[in-house]
Amino acid sequence: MNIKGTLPTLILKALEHGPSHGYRIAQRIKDRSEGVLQFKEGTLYPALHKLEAEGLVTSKEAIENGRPRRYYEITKAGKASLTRDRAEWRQVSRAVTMILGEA
Amino acid sequence: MTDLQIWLKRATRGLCSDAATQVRREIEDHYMAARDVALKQGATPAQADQQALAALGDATAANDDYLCVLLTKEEAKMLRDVKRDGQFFRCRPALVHAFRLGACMLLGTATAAYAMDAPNLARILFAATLGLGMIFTVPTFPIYTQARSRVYRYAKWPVMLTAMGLANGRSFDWLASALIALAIFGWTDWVCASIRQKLPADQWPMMLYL
Repeated sequence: MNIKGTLPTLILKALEHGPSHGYRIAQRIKDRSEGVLQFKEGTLYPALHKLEAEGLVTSKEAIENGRPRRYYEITKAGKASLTRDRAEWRQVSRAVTMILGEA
Repeated sequence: MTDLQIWLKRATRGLCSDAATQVRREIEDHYMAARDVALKQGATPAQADQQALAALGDATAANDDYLCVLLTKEEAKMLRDVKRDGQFFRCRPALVHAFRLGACMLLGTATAAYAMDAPNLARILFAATLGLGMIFTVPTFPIYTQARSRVYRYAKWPVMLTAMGLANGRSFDWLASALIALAIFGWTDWVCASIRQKLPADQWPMMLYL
């Protein structure tokens, strides 16, 4: 399933419980969706950079196993944005379910 | 050149060197992590390379995304220029006073010319007050917040057009020169707008607000 439009929200959700690096974020999204949500991992970083420019995440570099690694962390504004996105998604999801007649 | 390097070359096309370095580091790290996992799951080194690269997807699509969020070479150059200009004005507080005083003097002279029944001279002086005041004087006031600078940017264009129209009176010969000026200023503003979207506001240099 193409998730490009919702990728920023999924990234914020993946960062909700603590800082993480790109690879782990990608795996977390794929694992939590049980493989349904697939995306090309090359598109993850542009989305992360956009979130950073919008002040929704911050990043810092750390050395892990001798390799420099960039860790991303959700900000207060990012958490607020996630809450809004979640509420909006519930509304949309409910509406689509009603239209499809599965409620 | 390895497949990963070819991928990176395509994905970083057009990006400034800092952004390209950042992308390379992140993607190499990501690639190595994916490769390690594939190896642990029993893949051969060649298979692990292939899987890690395939997971990254199309390099051209990634490049399109990167160009939307990271600084291009042209934007990085513009950013250096606006930083240098900002530095120039910050180091010369006398210029700030000169710009304010100059605008007041121009306005005073324009008013005097109008009072002395010299409407053509007054018109040109009013136009100069508007144009020069908008470009040089207004930026000397505390407008360096996102909301205030947005108002300035929206107001700048109508004011500049009014100044051009005022300076040229009823003659429409000015339209061609106005269009050229608009194209040059418009392009600069377009690049600056793109930089503003890509940089967090706390990293904006002073001149980027304008």
